[in-house]
Amino acid sequence: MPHPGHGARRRLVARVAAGTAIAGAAAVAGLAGDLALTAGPVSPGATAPAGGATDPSGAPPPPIVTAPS
Amino acid sequence: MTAPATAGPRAITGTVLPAFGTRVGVWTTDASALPAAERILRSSVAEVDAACSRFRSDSDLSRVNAGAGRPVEVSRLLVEALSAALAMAELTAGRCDPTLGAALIAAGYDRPFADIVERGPGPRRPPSPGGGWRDVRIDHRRSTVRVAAGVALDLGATAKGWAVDGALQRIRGALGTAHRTTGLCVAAGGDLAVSGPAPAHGWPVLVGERLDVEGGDGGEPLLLAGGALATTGALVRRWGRGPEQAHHLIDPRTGAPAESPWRLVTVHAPTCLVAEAAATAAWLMGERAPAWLRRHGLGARLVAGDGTVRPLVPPFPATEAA
Repeated sequence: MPHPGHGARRRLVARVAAGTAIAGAAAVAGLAGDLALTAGPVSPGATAPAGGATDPSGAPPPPIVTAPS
Repeated sequence: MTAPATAGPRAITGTVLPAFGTRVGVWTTDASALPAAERILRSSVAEVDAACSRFRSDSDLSRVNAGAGRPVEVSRLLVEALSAALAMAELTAGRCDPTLGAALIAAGYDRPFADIVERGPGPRRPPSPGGGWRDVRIDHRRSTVRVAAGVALDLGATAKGWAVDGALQRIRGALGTAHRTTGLCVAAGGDLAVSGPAPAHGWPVLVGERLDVEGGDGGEPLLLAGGALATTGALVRRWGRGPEQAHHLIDPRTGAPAESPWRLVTVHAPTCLVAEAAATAAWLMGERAPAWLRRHGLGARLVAGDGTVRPLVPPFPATEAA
C-alpha cells in the first residue's frame, strides 16, 4: 500500500528536477534518491515553452544538471 | 561569487539543444530573454566547434594537428581557446593537458563518441604520453599555432567550459541593460555557469552521474548562487570490454586511461573553464585532490568508488539541509 506521503514526494521531486521548486526542500525531505523515478530526461533539441514553469500548459523547463558527459 | 537573489524559482525557463557531441543549454529568469539567449548560444557553440573540434577535418585544430612541426595560421577563436587550455595546463601542473590528442586516438577515441557507441572504437595502439603542451607555440600577432611533430591537440578538457564562459558573456552583453536583473545559466555537457541575479534560493542544479538523470543516479539537488560547476567521471565516456576497456580521462604521464579512487568529482569555481579543468585534474590526482582543491580555494564534491560522498571541500553550493 503506498505511503500517504508518496504523492507529495513525487510531485516535489518532479518540481525539483524541473527546476521549479527549491532543490533544498527535497534534500530536507530526503528525496535525493527518488529523483531518478520522476525526473524526465533532457531531450536533445527540446525547447521549453516560453515561460517554462509559469507556462499555462505547465510544461517545465529542462532540468539543470552537472554530470560527466 | 554570491549573486543577489531577486527572482523567484518559478521564473526559470530554458532550452537544451545538441552540440559538441553532447547537450548545451541556456536558462533565464525572464522568459523574454530566452529567444535571444538561445540564438547567441547556438552561434557561439557553432563557432567553437568549427575552430576546436578534433573530429572535423576542416577545423582549425585539425589543421594544426595535420601540420604538426610547423606554424599553422588559425582563427582568433582557436588562439584564445588554446591559450585558455595552456593556462589550465599550468594551473594543474600538466594534468589537464591539451596535447593528449594522440593518446586519445591510441586509446581508440579516434572518432566522435556517438560513432564509438554505434560502431565501436578505433584500434588500440601503444599509449602516447602527453607533456607536449610546454612546446606549443602561439604567435598572437600572426595568429599561428605550432605543435611539435607527432603531437596532436585535443581541447576536450577545457573547450566546453571555455565555451560556456564565452557564451554567457556574449549573452549578457547582447541583452544589455534592459535585462540587467535577468539571471542567466549556460551549460555544455554538464558543465555550467551562472551570471546575474539568481533565483530566490539559487539555481536548482542536480549533481549526478549522467546528464540524462532518468537513466542515472538521480542526482543530488544543489542551489547555486553564483560561479560555475563542472563534473568529471569516467563512467559515461568509456568503451570496449574487459582488458580492452578504456575511457577519455588520460594520465598524461603514461598516455593511457587513468585510474582514480573517485567516481565523480564536481568542482565549484569562479569560471566554468577553471571548474572543468580542476575537476579533471582532481579526478586524476586521486587522494591528493582535496588538499590541492583547498590550496586553490576551489569548492568540490567528491564521490568515492563505493558511491559515498567524501569529502566536501568548502566552499561548495549547499542544499538547504546542509
